[in-house]
Amino acid sequence: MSVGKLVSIELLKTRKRFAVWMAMLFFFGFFVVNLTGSLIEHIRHDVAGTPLPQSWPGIISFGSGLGVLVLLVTVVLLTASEKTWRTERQNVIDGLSRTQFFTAKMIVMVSLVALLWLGVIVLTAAFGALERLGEAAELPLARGIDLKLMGGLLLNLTLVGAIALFFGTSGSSSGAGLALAFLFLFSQSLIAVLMVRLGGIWEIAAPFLPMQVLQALTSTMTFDPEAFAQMAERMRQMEESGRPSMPRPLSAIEAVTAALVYIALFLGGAWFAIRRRDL
Amino acid sequence: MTIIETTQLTKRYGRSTLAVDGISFHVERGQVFGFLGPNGSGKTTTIGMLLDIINPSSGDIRLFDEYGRDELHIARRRIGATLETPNFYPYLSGRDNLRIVARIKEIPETRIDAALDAVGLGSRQKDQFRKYSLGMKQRLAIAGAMMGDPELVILDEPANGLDPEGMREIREIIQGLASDGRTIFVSSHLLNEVERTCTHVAIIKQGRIVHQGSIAELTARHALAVIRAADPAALLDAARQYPAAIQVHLEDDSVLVELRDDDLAALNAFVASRGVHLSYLAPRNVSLEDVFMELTSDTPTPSRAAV
Repeated sequence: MSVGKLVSIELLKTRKRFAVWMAMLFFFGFFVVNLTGSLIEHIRHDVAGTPLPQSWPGIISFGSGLGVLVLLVTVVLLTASEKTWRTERQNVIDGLSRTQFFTAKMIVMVSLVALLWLGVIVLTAAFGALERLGEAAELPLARGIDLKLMGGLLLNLTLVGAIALFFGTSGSSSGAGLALAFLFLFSQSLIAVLMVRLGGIWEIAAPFLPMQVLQALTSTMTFDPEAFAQMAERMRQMEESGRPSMPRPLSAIEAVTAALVYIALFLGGAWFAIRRRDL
Repeated sequence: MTIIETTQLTKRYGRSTLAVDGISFHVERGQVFGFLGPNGSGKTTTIGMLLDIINPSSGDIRLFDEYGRDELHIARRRIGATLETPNFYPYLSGRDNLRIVARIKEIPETRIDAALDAVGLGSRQKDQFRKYSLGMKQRLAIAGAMMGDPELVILDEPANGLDPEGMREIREIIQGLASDGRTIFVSSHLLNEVERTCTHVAIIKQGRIVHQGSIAELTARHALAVIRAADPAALLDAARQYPAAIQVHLEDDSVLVELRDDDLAALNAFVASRGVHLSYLAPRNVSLEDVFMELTSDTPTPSRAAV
């Protein structure tokens, strides 16, 4: 079966799913309202609304936070509900192989990631450009560091999508999948601090926890060598004066490599869950 | 041509639960094959393994004389099936659900109208699946199973939970499919329905096949005699000593004797030799239910069918 056929099947399933529309409305509504408010402020009072390129780090961080929430909910719902309704087994009975079913779900996840990522970039660029209308622009719309952050956001959202796909396929229902996914992600800040306090191998591993990697991917410090060096120096001084209570920052290469490894692991886990379990 | 063949098919859950215990059976082209067994006997697990939604622990499956993972995946495209309850997207209409089925089976969506009309859902096609009655859901499931014009139709408990009218509709649909020359594999515990629609059966008990064959062969295996005497207790005692008796039950004032042969005269002579004189002796047709109860009950259960 062609990828196009799989896409057409998933489109048919998704386009009338109320929860997906609500999640998208929440994400884009929040963004547009935020950007529109800034633009109106700029026009009325001539204050900086969404000045580009300086606003990119904040907007990307905001987009990542909102994206984590929306992606987790939509991907887990779209995947786990197939188990609740037993439509996953019926799809296989009707002729879809388990691999095709997994591929279809991966296409849904990647499409949602692309939609959210493009939404953040295009909407921000559009509103930023509107704000500049009639004004002499000294700086480009995006600097090199902003482009790296955009790449980081794409990886960040893909990793969240992969985690959601894993919990969506592994959980026994949508509720269980969502609960496990949120618990997995948001318990890690505490676990990271605990690992740092334990020291040794735990301390070395702490920055590589998935949530730490997600945060590193949308942090300016990760992609700005100067800021990274300053932070590393601060951490070294903290270590000399006692134990640091935070995991050390990841370099860009470490964050990107860890993200790619995690994406492969979570997608592999999701595929294994579909392939091996009884439907 | 053998359509389904299983060899020593086994499904084990954990270390202690053996759901299907090395079953071997075969279904030939054109048969309407009933797969019978009490609840929890392994019927749905077996069908799940045939349809690749349950991974077998061991054993082999051949479908349309094909075996091997890829070959079986292709062979399964010649099957239309429903398993347990009808499984569709509740927020989509009956028509949209069949559009998904059509796209998976890679068949033209123009066949949807005919499929909906065949099961009498043409006028309700735009209603959401969640608003359908159980009978309508079952019929939509059959429409979905039939959409690819399958050579083999597998239906798991299709009449489950239906009222008599719904059961009649499902029976007519199955008979219609069989008359088209398709092979039908239907699991059920509704023995009357199976006896009325199937040509062959396999009976499964605690994960094992205890009998397989045509219904005619199965019911002809044994004879049943209904006998009465002035002293039912003495008659029951005498009948229990009869060497050709398989099972003996007391039913009201009559004694039912299941016999290895149909020699009623010998039975009469035997009880007379024990000092019991019969006031009534008559043969009774053995139903599928009688045989099923004999093969699947751990303790003898008196038949309640009309004499």
